[in-house]
Amino acid sequence: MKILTAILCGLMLTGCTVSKVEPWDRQYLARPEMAWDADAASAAYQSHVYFSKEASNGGASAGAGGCGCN
Amino acid sequence: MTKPDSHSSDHVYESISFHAMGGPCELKLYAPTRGAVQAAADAAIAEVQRIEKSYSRYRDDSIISAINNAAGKNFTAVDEETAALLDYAHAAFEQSDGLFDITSGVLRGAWDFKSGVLPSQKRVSALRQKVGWQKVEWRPPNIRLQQAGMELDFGGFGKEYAADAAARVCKEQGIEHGLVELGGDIHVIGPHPDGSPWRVGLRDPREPEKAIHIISVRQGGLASSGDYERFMVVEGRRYCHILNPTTGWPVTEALAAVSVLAPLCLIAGTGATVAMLKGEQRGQEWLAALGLPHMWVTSTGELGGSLVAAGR
Amino acid sequence: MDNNKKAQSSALLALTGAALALPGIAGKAHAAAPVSEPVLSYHATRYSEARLDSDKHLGGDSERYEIDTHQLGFASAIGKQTDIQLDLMVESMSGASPWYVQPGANNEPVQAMSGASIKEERVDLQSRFNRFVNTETVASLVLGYSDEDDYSAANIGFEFEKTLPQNQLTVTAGMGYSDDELEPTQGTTAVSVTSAEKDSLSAFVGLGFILNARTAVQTSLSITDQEGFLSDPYKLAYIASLANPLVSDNRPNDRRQWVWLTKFRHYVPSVNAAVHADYRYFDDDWDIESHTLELGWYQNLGNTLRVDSVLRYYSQTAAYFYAPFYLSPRSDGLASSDYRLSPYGALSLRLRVVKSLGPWQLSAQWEGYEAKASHSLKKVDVESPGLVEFNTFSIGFDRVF
Repeated sequence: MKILTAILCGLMLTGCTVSKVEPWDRQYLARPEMAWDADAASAAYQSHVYFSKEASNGGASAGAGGCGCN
Repeated sequence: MTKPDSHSSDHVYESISFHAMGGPCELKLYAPTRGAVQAAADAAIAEVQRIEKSYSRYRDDSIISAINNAAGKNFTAVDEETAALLDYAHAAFEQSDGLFDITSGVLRGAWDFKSGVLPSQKRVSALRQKVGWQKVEWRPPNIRLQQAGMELDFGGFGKEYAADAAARVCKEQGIEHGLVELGGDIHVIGPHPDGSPWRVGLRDPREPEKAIHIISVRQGGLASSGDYERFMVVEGRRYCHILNPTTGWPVTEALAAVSVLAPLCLIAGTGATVAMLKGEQRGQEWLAALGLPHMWVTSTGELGGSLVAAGR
Repeated sequence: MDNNKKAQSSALLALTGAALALPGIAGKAHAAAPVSEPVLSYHATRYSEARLDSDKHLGGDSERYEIDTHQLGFASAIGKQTDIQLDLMVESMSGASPWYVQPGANNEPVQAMSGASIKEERVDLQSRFNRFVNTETVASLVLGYSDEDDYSAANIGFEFEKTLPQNQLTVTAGMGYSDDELEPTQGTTAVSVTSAEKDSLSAFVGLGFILNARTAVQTSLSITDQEGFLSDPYKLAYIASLANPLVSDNRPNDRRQWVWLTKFRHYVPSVNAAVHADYRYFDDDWDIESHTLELGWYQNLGNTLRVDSVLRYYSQTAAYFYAPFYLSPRSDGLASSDYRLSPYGALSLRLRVVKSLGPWQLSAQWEGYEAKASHSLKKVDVESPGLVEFNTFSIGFDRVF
């Protein structure tokens, strides 16, 4: 939890230095490789594989069903 | 326009001229490689040509021609970009109290500034009947001009929009330093690589080849409007191409020239056009209320506005 | 230059607002909107697990899983304010899987694999409906169903996203529910139950920030509650003190998980590349804590080619009831030697090439993954012999219509 606190504080600090970005200056942010899930099909597959091979899973989504993966 | 006087070693600079939107255009771009400049320029020119092709009233296949040809008849469905442009025109019409009107182009039929002859009031009045955004039924995404003979004309803001779009395309190609100029309307992408601003000369309305004032621009749109572009003098009186849609006549007691700096060239252009249409006194008030950096020149040659004050 | 400190006039606000809706000005960064053109995609992936080292396994088949996956996706707008995404995943799996672990000659854990190869199929259909209430608000409904021989799951979820453009802030929130049913098949290995259920309920909130024209950060917190049969019906645990040492895998009937996920994106215009850094912290009431760090470099080469390299690091601690094998039964009766509940770390590397050709986008991807106790952040005394090492290779296309 220490790491969590440290990163949250860091985020808040950078939050103070947010610079105004007009919508017409967001061409970099709008690039496909800047998306949160840059390649949807591959991201879906990957999370499925990690879900079935590791103990942890989840994060910012309304989720999917489980599987009987061994 | 002044040439860039600084040159960074890790940037290639190129100035590319082309013709579009009824006038000379220029891209002044810095990029890491010549290929990158060329790729950005190609994409930007293609974008300008795309917009020109879509909104030219001279092309039979443009959406504008389709709407105009259906005037007095049926509704025409438009695409999203056209709808957004119509929404913008609507906003400008409302904010300018009806002076910025994209249906006023038909009035040009009465005014031949090369002839040196004033049109008859009867002719002007007849065309005046075909003017008025309030006579347009705009029910997104469908539009209909109520009367046959009415016409839409995006000439009042299409060039400025194209300058902004070309600048966006350049930025998408990674350009951070440079500017786009389409027939006098400018969108500065970013300053010279060393951080110094672009120096832009504003025309003297009475000696249009000379700069009356030079300003520094790091980023954003710059547009100018003036009574010097097309005009005639009849019996000592100056009649310019800026026509008041409510009278059908050139604006009287107008400012001689206006320049506006804004985040977007489109907004700068609308600000300048409306200032010209409002006349000398109300034009200055409009500019002050708009709150954007600006400069005006009166018919007697007096200079004013925040850009002049800031430059001194 | 801009020395005018006046508040923006209403005229300027009206004009700016109208200008921002123009696609030529805002480009693709333009407000939330349904997909503009239908997209069809297909990806085929071969997943193969490496054989276990011969000194780590005992009997059974050492040939582990091989999975062929086909993914078919379709997205399209329905009307002006809605779009739909359909994703079908069909997997066919074969191979042996870890069954139980027993002590070897020197008390080292040795993995027993399930006897014969299992062959099964799994079909998963996920659908997503996005309703663009306005340019700043999206409400989404997720519905999904998956089915395999011995397992089926139905899930439903809601998501909500609100962008506050003035603050360059996006708020997201959502809930999901999954109802899973197990009907283990009696095969070569005995199973502990004939039918069982579990359900999971999850909720999350997230915040996205645009820090500057090149940098954005998203952070989210999720909680998931699972309830029901959370054990693995096909796995056994070895308890040395018992006359019959092999017992069914037995885990608690509930589990609460917390996930804190932060994603960082930065674009480097001078080299046309995007930097990704994702960090996930996971914690649950089975004492499993994990850290996941993904660092990616997405390099554009010209306008139509992109090469992505992603390095992923993962490290987890063990569930409190996990042991490679047990000397005597635990007082709570729990027992599991599943390698997925063991302490370990994993490193993986993904390489991807994406090529655009007009309406087509072709992609190829390779991943190499290796789990090892020595990759763990914390020192691990005994490594689970069942840890996986796998490769995936995938090719696919997206076609815009």
